[in-house]
Amino acid sequence: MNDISDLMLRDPLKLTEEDIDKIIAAERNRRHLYRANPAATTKAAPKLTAKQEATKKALNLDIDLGL
Amino acid sequence: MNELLSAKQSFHGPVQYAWDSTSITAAQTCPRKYYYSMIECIKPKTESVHLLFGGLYAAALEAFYKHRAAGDTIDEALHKVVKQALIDSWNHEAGVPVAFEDVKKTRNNLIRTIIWYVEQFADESESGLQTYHLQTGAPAVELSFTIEASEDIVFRGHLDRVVSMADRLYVMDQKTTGGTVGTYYFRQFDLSNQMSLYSWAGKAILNTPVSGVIIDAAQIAVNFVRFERGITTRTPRQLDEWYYSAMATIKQIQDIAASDAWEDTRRWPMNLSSCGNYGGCPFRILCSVDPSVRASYQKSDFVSHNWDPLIDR
Repeated sequence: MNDISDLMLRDPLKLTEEDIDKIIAAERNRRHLYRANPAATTKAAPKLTAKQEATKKALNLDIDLGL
Repeated sequence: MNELLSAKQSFHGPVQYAWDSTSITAAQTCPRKYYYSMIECIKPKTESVHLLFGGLYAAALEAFYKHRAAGDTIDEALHKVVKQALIDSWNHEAGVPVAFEDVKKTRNNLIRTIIWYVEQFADESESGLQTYHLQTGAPAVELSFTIEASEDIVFRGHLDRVVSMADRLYVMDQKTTGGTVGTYYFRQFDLSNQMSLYSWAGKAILNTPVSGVIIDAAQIAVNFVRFERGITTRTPRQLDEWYYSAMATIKQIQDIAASDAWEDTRRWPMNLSSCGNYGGCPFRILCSVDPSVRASYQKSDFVSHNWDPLIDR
């Protein structure tokens, strides 16, 4: 999933076709996991570390770690 | 008369003659809201995340079905629209993702919603839905319409897709929400101008009755998306009633706009019972301050915006 987070933060004009396929595959897998066990997926998003919070704030980004 | 208003194709001077569901709804909600959005041509500086998210999502799904109608496989079409959605949600000037000011309707969740929607609904072999084809053989996707509603009024809109299900025709639409989707959620569409206009126009375009609108609603949560499909139907008599209500509102607005004092905002009454609806009217700040300072607030909090029903978005 970290690969996907990196891809989502990259300029989309620089993403390769394989990168797009990775994003789609990751979300398909996530959906499969959700449908298998919705309760496990519906818990609250994990808290960011202090460094991640600072980075997010500095760059004004909305980072979904997608764990 | 401001430049934007002068240039509007759907207006003759300050009088609107080409109407879509957005302008009809604004007029029915509050004449003053209509004045600010359509005559003064302004919108809040900060774009609603719901409009941002919903607009990108709708564009992606419309493109998906267009690619499918052109012969793409599900995977090919999905690949194209995901790539485009990533591009459209990127701030190319700043080199960062567009900021979605929401914990649920984020850029990542936009991509997730598109992909999960296609996974759930794209294969229609078991759903009984089929894209309707026009008499020309062309698939009924991306149908823009401009239909004479009366001698001097036209209705304008855009149908993303028309489908057949159990020998009846329906327009397809999709919505997103951060709340739970259930019976109560779908009931709001039973009196929706947008759904009524789609049904009314569908019959006019296709020369055959359209039973209503199938709405695919996506509940956007932090870590998942849940979909529900609902239907809002319209009988011919319901459409007839809607038509007369819409025309009555249009006449009211046109009478104000055609009057000599149309530039006096006092001629555009505030509907004070609508100010708090749907999270609050975007122009509430203007109505709540003294008229003497309104121009300052307008300058600081709003930007020019040309919503013209006759211009394709």
